[in-house]
Amino acid sequence: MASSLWYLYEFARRKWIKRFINAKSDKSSYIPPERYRKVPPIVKYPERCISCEGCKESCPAFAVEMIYSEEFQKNIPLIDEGSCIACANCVEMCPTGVLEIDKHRIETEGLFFDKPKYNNLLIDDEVCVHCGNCERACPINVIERKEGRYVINMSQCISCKECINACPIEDAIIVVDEKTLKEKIEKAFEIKTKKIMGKLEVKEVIKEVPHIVDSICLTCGLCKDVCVGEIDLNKKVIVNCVKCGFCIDVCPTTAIRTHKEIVPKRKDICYMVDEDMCIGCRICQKVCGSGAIKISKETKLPYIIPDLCVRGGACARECPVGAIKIVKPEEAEKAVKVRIIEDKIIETIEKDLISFTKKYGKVKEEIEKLSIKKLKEELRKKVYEENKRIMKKKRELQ
Amino acid sequence: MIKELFRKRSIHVCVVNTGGCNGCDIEIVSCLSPRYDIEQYGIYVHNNPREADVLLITGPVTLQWAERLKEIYEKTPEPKVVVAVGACALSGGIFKEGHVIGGVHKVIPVDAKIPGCPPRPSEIIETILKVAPKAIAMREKLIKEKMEKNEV
Repeated sequence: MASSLWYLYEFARRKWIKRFINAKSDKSSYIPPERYRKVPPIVKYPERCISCEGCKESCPAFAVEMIYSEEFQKNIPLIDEGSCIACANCVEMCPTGVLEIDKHRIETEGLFFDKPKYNNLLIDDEVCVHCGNCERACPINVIERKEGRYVINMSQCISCKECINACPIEDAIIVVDEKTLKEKIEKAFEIKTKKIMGKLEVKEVIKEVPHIVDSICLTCGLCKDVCVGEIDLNKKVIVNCVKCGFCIDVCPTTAIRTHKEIVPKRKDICYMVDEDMCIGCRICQKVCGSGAIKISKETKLPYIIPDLCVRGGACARECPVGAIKIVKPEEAEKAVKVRIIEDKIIETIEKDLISFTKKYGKVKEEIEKLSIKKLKEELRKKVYEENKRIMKKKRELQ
Repeated sequence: MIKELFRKRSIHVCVVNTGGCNGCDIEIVSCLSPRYDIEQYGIYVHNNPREADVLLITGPVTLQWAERLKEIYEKTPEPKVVVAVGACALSGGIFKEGHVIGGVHKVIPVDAKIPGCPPRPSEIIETILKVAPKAIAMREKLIKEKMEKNEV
């Protein structure tokens, strides 16, 4: 009896009954909690947009489209409310803070996190000529030069692919997307199971022993799983190879390879040194990463070989007097032909001269040696004869 | 008996999931909970299209579901309202690249759309209340016309 009274007292004291009756009209029942699915993000500051398409890259529901706006004279994201899932990836991705979804941007600003994206970009160091075009093209400055090579900051990159457009070489910047990664993992799993079951047919497919390119290796370990020989992933060296070629098929970034050629994107133009303007400072030769600039032996001025030139434009940018100009490839070849032939002739002459001088030196030494020997012999003979004569005369006199 | 007598003028809702992730369905179920309490507005959720006024469709409509969805649409009695719930039902959402038709509007006519992944229960209730009374009014009109004909 007493306990039931106490319960009744408790209900009355804590306004339990009142709360129970007013449950529907209570404020907490219809105000959504903070940061609770606010749909969709809005384009709040369109004037800040740099049309990098980072939001489009990051969207998992493909709800963002870039549409040209007459008012701002550039592409501006248009968000499809129907397919937006309010994940706020685009808000986190945007480098200039164009988009806004409630207070999400302000709350997460300054926090350290990777930019959400599907495609990751990596610079292939084997074919990179260090022209620096990607660093200039990057709208958010995440490409840096470290120890003589260019590196993309993976966590901050928005994969807008401006660097790929600016890069003069084909496939120098590699795109790693989840789709290819998934395919390669499946392929590797197939080969791995075959290898464990002992049904793997090993043939010699490739001619050379492949090598690992350090800058684009993800250390995913697929090659190590598949390899019949031995791969050391810590040092990134292939220790023992049977040339089966499985690792090349499996690598998601083509980091394992035997050989890769430098193929320039553009062949319709070429750079040419204007020899009337050139001051012979040779900055262009130091800047060039592909080794296309050589110094003429006749004029002591640099010239560009069109076959090796990748059309990066670093030389034209760095030239202090603007002596390097863009011309048609035929024109450049015509101008350079003379210099190449001249150089070849001079080189052959120099080679011949060097060999001749070497031979001459040798012959001279031999002649000297022989002559000294003979002279010595003759001297000895003469001294002997003189001695004899003197002895004879002495005897006669006695 | 109960349906005929007491729930005659209430809104009957049929929930159809056409291959989504089930998130929207959970939100619809939470409408039934005491926090939102969909039944206080006279809305009843069940899975029978033959006595439904409102079809609540979630999911991106997979290829197998396209024909079934048409059948369900034909089964529902005439003054009917179709409400597409969630981002998947509107455009395919995150399943856009999969084996889906992508959007309920490509298969059957849609009266109302609720964006969000998933939409809030309060939004779902609001939409049903905005759209469904029209269907009820239509039905009453039809019934009245029939009654008049019978009397004649």
